Amino acid sequence: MSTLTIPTTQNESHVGHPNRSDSTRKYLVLIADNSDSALRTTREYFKEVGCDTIAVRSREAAKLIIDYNANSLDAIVLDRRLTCDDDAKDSSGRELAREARREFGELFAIVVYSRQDEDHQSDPDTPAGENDPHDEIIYMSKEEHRGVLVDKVFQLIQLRASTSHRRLRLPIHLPPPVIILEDAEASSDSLQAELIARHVHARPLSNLDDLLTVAHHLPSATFIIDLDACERKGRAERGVEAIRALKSLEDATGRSFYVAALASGEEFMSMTLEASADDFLVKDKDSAETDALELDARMRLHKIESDQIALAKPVTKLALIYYKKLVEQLREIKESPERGMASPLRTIGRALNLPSLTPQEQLVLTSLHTQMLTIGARAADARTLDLCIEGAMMLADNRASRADVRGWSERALRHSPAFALTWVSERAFEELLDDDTEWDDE
Amino acid sequence: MTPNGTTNEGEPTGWAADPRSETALFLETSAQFHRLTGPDLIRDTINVMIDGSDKVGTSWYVEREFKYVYIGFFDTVAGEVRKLSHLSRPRKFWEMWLEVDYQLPKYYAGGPKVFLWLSKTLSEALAEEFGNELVTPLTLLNRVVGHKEFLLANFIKRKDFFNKSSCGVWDKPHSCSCGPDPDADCRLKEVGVEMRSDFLAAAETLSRSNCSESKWLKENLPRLEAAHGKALLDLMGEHRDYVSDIVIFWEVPDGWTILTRDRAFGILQEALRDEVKVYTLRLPREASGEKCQVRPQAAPEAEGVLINYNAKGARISADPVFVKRLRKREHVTISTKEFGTDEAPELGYSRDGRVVYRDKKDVSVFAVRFPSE
Repeated sequence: MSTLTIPTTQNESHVGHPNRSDSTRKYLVLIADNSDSALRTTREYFKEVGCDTIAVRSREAAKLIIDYNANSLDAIVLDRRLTCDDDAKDSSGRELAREARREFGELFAIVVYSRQDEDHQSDPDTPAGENDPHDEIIYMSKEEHRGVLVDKVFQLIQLRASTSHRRLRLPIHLPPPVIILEDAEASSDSLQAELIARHVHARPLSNLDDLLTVAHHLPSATFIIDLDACERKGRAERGVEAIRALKSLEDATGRSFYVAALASGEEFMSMTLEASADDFLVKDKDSAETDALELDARMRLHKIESDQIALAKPVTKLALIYYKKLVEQLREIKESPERGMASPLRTIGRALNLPSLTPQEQLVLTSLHTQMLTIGARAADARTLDLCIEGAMMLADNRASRADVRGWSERALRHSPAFALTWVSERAFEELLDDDTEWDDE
Repeated sequence: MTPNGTTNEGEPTGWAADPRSETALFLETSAQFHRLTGPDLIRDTINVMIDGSDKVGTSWYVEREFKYVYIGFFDTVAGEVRKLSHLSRPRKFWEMWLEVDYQLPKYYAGGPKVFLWLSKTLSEALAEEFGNELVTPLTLLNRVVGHKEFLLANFIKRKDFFNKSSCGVWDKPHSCSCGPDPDADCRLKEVGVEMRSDFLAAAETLSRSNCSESKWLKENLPRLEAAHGKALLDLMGEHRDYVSDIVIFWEVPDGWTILTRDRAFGILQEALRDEVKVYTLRLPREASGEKCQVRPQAAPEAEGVLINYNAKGARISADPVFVKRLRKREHVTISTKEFGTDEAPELGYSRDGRVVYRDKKDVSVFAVRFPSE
């Protein structure tokens, strides 16, 4: 592992370990700062020493990253005034740091740094010496050179790596978040509250860049883009661009995103749908409850559809196992017809219990099943067995998707009516369609 | 002579030992269905006729009716199975089926008789298959849809596919947007407008017969005659069950032979079109020639000859004077050695039935229908 020299004002040499000793993965550092320039600078320093970084501009985005990536993070670096630099009372960064420490213990190092000369020392609420140094939240001033910050973060990471308890992995059981992109000033708290009341894991975000950054670090999520909020900032098109970017990310990385646009009118509808949004909802201006209900319903429907797609993979695998087994069983029966149809019938029974079968599969399985029930324990004739084997082979070849199922069923029925149900017995034939066909007066 | 298993309406008493080839064979809805699901003999008869014919065709309305009645039935059942809770949890078949059956509509497009028969046949087949085994709704669903797909895949639709009927008026709800006159793409106008007089003649013919649609046609003939253009098409669409045979009948081109189970086609052909032939599917009759005694309820018995018979009825030749006195639906007893068996002669040689037919051409011939056992 190489030793890196980190540029500092003091021109000190710092021992950097940009790669984890236990894997080839680089250290992952979350940096949250509402100042674009500060964020950029800090990020550059960490990148320069070979770290992977996640850079966000808001407390909400940082919280999302922490919650869903706690096990991957090595350190988080939070601006103390994460919401408003001009507000001396803003300590949202520090609050988030405490929250993270409370929820995730010693999983990662935490540094809070601020522009003003405040909280430079250890957390005043945590008496010095009470915890191990690596348990503490470290406070640093922005007056310090970024190299010092980087150096401190590395020290903390290394310290944690040297102790056994750091490598704990917490099981994270959070449902995929529902991220609402809204206007922080005209926040639609009520929509979020209504969604939360419906047990939807709703989380607000107000920054488009953060939204895309967060999306890169979530395996699945729902995004609700409030186009009115974007328009108030004079950038409704950016909302549409974000939708396009989210859907591209989903396509490129196989993530599962549901992206819905929300607006008070329909003027952006076609633009939004062209950007591949999954849904477009027109707000009910009088009731956030209506919007929440509609979103809840549509999200659940989308989940059902997604689950249906996800279901196809194991079902296909399982079906092909059954079909190959069926071919083998039928071939064995052809060798020794006295075996009877009990084994293949069981296999077909299991296959018929699979969800999401295609119409071709349903046809062939039902037809084989009907024939085999008729054969029962008897020895089937060779031609019938050949047709059964052919049917099973069609199934085994990509679930009969390429097969001429119609041609097979036609030939099968011609050879033996037992490939289909006899719906009309001779008696029914005489009595059913018109009682007087043959014998009536004219 | 007609193929075994069919009756040519022009030769009601004849049937041949071997099916005959046709130049062009038109499969009506009932022929399509029985080819796939009928008794073995009927299936074989239809298949041999198909193989022996130069051309085999069907029509747009036949396909619509096939899908509407039979495929529609399976879709309805499958829809109710899908509503069952916990699709992958095994349950007793009968518990499930009762739940499904209870939810099925009580009125059905193909008529209550067809519905009851389809429903009964399906439930019996599935009950036999599953017995008391535990089965999941998913398995039941796959089986029901499998049967449907089988019918759908095997509907015969080749290059001879005639269409004088496609129109939105058949949809439920009605989806035809043209008006006040049918537009250029409307195919139903061929039967309802261009062949209006033929359509009305067929309606009038069936209104005088004894078919399932006769009563409605008799009562509504004035309405049909008064309707012109799009109005007639709308009326047809509203009462599709009563005009479907007429529409199919006029979709069949000249020179074709209609294979059907529906007697309306024979009636229409005999009255209106020499250019087509009609074969009506039926179970074969045993030829006899044995002597028989015919004993009416209110008249002296007479001697006759049993021409042919099956489980459903018998055709008998007797003194024309005696035959003329027989009344429709009159109860008669037929006694002949033909009805006995060597193994159990004590069971007797007689069968009771009702007079249902007197041949207009051969006045010595009448037919008796035996009651269902």
